[in-house]
Amino acid sequence: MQHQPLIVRWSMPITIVLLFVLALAPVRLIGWTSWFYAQTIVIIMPVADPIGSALDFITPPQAANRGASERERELTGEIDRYRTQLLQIKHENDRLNELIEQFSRGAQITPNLDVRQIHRPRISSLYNDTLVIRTGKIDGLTQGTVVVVDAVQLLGKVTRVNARTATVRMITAKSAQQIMATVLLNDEGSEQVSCLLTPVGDGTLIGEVARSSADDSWGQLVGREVRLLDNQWPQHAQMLVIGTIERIQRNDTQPLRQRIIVRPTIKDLRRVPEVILRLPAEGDAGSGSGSMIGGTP
Amino acid sequence: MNWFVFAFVSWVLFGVELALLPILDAGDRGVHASMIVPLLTFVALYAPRKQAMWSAIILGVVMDLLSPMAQIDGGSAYIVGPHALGYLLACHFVLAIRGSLIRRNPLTLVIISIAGSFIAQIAVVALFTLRNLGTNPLIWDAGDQLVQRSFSSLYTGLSALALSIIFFALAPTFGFHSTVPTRFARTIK
Repeated sequence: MQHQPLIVRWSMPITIVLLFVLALAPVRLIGWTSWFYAQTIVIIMPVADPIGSALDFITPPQAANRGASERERELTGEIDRYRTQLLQIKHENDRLNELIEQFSRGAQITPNLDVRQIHRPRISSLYNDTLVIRTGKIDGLTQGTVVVVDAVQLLGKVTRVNARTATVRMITAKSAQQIMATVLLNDEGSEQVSCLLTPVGDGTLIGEVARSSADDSWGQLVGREVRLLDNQWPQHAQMLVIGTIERIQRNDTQPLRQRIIVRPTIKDLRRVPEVILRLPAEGDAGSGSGSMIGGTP
Repeated sequence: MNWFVFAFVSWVLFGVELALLPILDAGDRGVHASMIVPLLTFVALYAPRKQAMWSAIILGVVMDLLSPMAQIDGGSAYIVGPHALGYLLACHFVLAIRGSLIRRNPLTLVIISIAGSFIAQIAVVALFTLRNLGTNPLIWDAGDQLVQRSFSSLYTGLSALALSIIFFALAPTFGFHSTVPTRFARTIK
């Protein structure tokens, strides 16, 4: 032991001190660790990816409506897309009406954004309810890019972008931010009630909704769609589906404000085989090699 | 210790753990069995002291890189250190008591994996809580994490039981050549 070179003898204490410093260092000083993360993913994925695919084959992830045939699912998906477009247009209409009102007062115009959608596979799930997807700066992704599944089901936001991979935090992750949402009280969306949803960490979100009177039946809310209506999210993401109300939790102290438990239409967001990224087309230089599947004004 | 075998087994286990993460997640609440802690425990039971400690650091650093932490601004950060130091502490614990253990018994690996995982996770929670005392860029709830990680440690016992069969079968390929003084039997080489 005494004949070992100094560097060998001190390597362990130095490493421990270094790890302590790194563990407590401010985040802005350890941004370089994402490069090592990207290399780790490249190394680990050749094992994780085939096993994940095999598991998906053995136990397929549950689809939104399992009993339906392929054609029925296609039609349901189409209805969902059109409903989303309709609600987006309604919301846009309301917003424009407000804008017209603001114009008259001399307010500035908010520029409207085009959106391009990129279809990309999920590579793997990571710890803390995050997903790794096979795209990155090469496709023009940035932190905050909106990620959806099945065209309208909101999945989450991109939290970290590397050259060829990106990390997505799901809306259901415990560490995800709260979301302002609106509950559609009828199919037309003419009656809505807003609520603040907090992720629970078990794949659901919880929030409180107020009813105008005690006569309104809370049971009618079960199964109702909940959609995004949050200024913290981009304009093009408004009215995307967050999920449906799974159950109502009694709130004895406030009978007019009950807690709703919302679950995304896809049962387990961590197991989606592929995702769609919604990128603002304007000012986007990187064309990428991805398959563009459509654009929404 | 044969580092190539260690690297290969670690590589496979990290892949398997990531692939099984959504399936073995108990109750969708982030409670999942670790495949890495049983490996760490196995290495710490048999390998020479220094090699066991370096193995713990390597496994911990990789675990840190695969555990993105949520930032308040909506981004992710990869904090290198907490798992590495936690695993090192767990390794130290195993090294300290391995002389008085019946190492060929799968239940030893199970119990020590659970205990080692507890120690490592407490260290991880302590370090993240400590770093969040100052500027607070991470979304972190110490109590919640402690509960979640404690249940994960218990759950790790199951994976340790399954992996013990594989590890004991692979033991000769690891090439452990350590002399560990035992309390109740002859010295194991």
